[in-house]
Amino acid sequence: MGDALLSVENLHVSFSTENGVAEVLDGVNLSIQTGEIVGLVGESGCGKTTLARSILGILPKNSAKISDGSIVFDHQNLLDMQEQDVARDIRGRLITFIPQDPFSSFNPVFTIGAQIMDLMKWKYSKQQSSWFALRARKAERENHFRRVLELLQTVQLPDPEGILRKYPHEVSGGQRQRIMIAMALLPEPRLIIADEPTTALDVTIQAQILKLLKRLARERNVSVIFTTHDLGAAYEICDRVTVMYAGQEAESASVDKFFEKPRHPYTKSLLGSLPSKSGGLKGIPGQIPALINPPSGCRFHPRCSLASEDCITRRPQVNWPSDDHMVRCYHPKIYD
Amino acid sequence: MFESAKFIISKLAKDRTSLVGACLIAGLILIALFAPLLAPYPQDVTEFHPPERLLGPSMSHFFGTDRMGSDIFSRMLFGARITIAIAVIAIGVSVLIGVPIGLIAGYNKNWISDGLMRVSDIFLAVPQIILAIAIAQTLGPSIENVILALSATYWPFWARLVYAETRSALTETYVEASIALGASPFRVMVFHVLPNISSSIIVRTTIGMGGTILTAAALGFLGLGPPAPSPEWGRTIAESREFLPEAWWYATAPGVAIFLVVMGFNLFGDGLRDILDPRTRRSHDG
Amino acid sequence: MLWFVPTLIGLMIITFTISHIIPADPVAFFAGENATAEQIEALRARYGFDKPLHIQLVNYLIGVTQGDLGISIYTQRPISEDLLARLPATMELTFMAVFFSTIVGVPLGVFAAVYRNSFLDHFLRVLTVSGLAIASFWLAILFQLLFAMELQITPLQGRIDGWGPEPITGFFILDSLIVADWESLKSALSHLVLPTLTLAFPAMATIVRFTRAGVLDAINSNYVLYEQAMGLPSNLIIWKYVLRNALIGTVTQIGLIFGILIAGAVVVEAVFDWPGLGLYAVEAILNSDYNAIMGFTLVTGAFFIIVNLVVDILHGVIDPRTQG
Repeated sequence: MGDALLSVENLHVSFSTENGVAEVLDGVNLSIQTGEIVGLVGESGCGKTTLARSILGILPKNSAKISDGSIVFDHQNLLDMQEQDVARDIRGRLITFIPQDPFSSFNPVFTIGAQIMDLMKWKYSKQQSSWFALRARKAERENHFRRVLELLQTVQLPDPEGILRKYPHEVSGGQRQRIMIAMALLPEPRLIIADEPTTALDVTIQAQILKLLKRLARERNVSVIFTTHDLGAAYEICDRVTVMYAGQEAESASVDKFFEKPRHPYTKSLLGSLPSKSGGLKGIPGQIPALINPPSGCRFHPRCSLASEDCITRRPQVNWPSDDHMVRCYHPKIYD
Repeated sequence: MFESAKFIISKLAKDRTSLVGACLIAGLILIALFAPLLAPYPQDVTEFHPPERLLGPSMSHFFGTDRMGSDIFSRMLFGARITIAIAVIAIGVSVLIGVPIGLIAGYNKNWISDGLMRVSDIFLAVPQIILAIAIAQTLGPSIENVILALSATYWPFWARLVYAETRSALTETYVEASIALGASPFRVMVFHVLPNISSSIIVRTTIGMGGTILTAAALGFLGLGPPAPSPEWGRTIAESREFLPEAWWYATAPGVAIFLVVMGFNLFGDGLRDILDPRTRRSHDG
Repeated sequence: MLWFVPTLIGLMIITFTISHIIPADPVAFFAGENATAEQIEALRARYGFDKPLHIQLVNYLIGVTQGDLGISIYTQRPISEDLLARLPATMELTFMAVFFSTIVGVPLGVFAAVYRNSFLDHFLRVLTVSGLAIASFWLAILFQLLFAMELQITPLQGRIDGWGPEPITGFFILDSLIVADWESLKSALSHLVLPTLTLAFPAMATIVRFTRAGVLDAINSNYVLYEQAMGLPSNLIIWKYVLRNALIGTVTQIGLIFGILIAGAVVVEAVFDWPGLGLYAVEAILNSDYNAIMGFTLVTGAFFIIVNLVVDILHGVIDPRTQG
């Protein structure tokens, strides 16, 4: 699809659990262009976090298995690369991470400054630090320090120097997430993976953080993959939205089209279940399936009023009813 | 209640190390019970045969003979009785004393509770064996005094444990409810709090057996346990020292016995804890 | 934190109580069979046994705070002097045991956690469980049997051959180094090997277990996930970020470790004839020297209480979460 920055194709991921093997991602596709902010939405357990972490390659080694598919970043299939090369060159350099819980994601016994400077030292230096040339290293450290302060100011933190000296528990939740955003921008990445970055924050702060993230990403032309179960948040900042259900991606469209002209029955139900001005709360009948023995074909079929034979036998192929709108359904809603 | 017992047993059976532990414990109990039948020379507990002293292991004497010519194997079997008796009674007494004290102290919030806990803390501030030595030495070497010394230094552990658990149990809503409904303190403690902390007590009792046996053996080794000609394991090891390295079997048999028994309780106790007390479950291997 | 003082006082009361529930009359015992009633009374007065109990208690408490633990019935010397003379030997042994078990135990615990469920992990698990099931005195004897008697590569017992280095600190290793007495140093070290190993064995088992648990906890945390997601080198993550978290949790276990060591020191010193506090206690037991036992109990108990106090303070200092 053009010259995508990241292209995930046909990704199959399974987890082995006590009760059996769960097919957590069933041939998922996702692509993102340079400078795009893509929202990955869906209910808990739909696989959005797993997808995000697969891209980074930080799934639990003992239980997770990528059985098929490719993750092509900047023309390189990350799944073909050696683990230490991915860790050294991709993670924390070209692709960075904003975690869901900024509190537990900081190491509690080191100062914030120590952790940030370590990140700079290992991820920002163009040359690997050598044991000689102490003076060069000292100059480099000062550079790092200045850059860190700059970035902390960019994320609107008052008293950046004071913050560096503090421990994570001495700083508020909103401030921590701002620091996380700063840290994600430090190495000058091309892609940021933000895994439910506002879920753990107070509602009043969520909007601020989201706007900040969007502005900074735009300024630096950095792509963002933003997972969330909050459709409102996705609407706020995303250029494009992809919705997932039970390990399958259902629909992907530009944000306007997604919210105004959804085609997939699940998307329609999801949007329909948002509290509306006219009152009335409509849920989706049924339950999210367990992934150990998932429904065959399109996993939404047990709860879908439009389900047919095809839906049960084979998962729908990728369809592009219009340029920037993808849907995987045998009975999508037709517009115009 | 029996369903949960069955559930626990089935889970335990799946854990291999617990099973090994359970077998060792069962072995100990059987040996202790049937010592007179299993021992080839049951009379050697008290009799001695100087001409046969310090013989090596053989078909007639599996673990050889000791300095008095008595069959070590037989004496070890009877030593198992002493070990079990000391451990079970010592733990039993300390639990019987410590648990009620902990319950009462935990339930009430007055100076008596504080005082009791301070006293417990003092005892707990010192390694058990140190105080036990002091007590046992004062009273003189005998099996009863060992039990006394161990009980007197172990009850504070239970008192503290039960106190903490009672305090936290009191914050549970169902307990508050029963108090509000007018249940007497006795009723609350015995019928509400106690059942909930019982699993914790059972786990630690099992794990505590191992440590108690080691402490008792150490007291025996130091000469503070049942005196000669008692076949107590710790004492036997002490006796053997002057005949080393020639009579190596003399020290090995009782030492291995202690090791196996303590291992048994430790393994079984660990397994029990993993099942009954998920809070304290250490990062378990899958 | 400050209430370790009442704890110490409580300990003194306990030791006093224990020493006075003697069914037999120690003074009469010591005076011997042929003593007359007057001689016994004189002795009783000398040791203060003739005063009413509560006055004895007060005198005892006052005496203790002034460092007077009474006179050893056996050696006729002040107990506090005897204990002080024996203290360095036990401290040297204990420190060596702590040092050894930490240096070896912590990295083993880290490897066991990082290579979870590997052969190393299972092997260590068996070893640590065994280590906590072996009677220290028996292990000591086994070591003696194997290394000193059979293989003859270490001395059998004692702390040193000959007189030892010039006594400056009382620590043979330090003193030998200070005066460059290489013979003494060699002798002191070789005599330390077996007792240290024996004493360290259960302590090491505990350290490996706790370090392993602490490291596993840390490895499964969100901050490690973040550090991995941001591509920090795994050696950095383990040996700097994870280890510090695990160790801070382990510091609280140092009190437990010391308890194990002190409890073990009594029997280990007995087996190796190590002239420390433990051996002193054993001798006092053999000689029915009640005062000495009480003095020993008090001193050891106090030492243990102080160690725990220090550990509490230390933990408060090094864990940033407990401040502010």
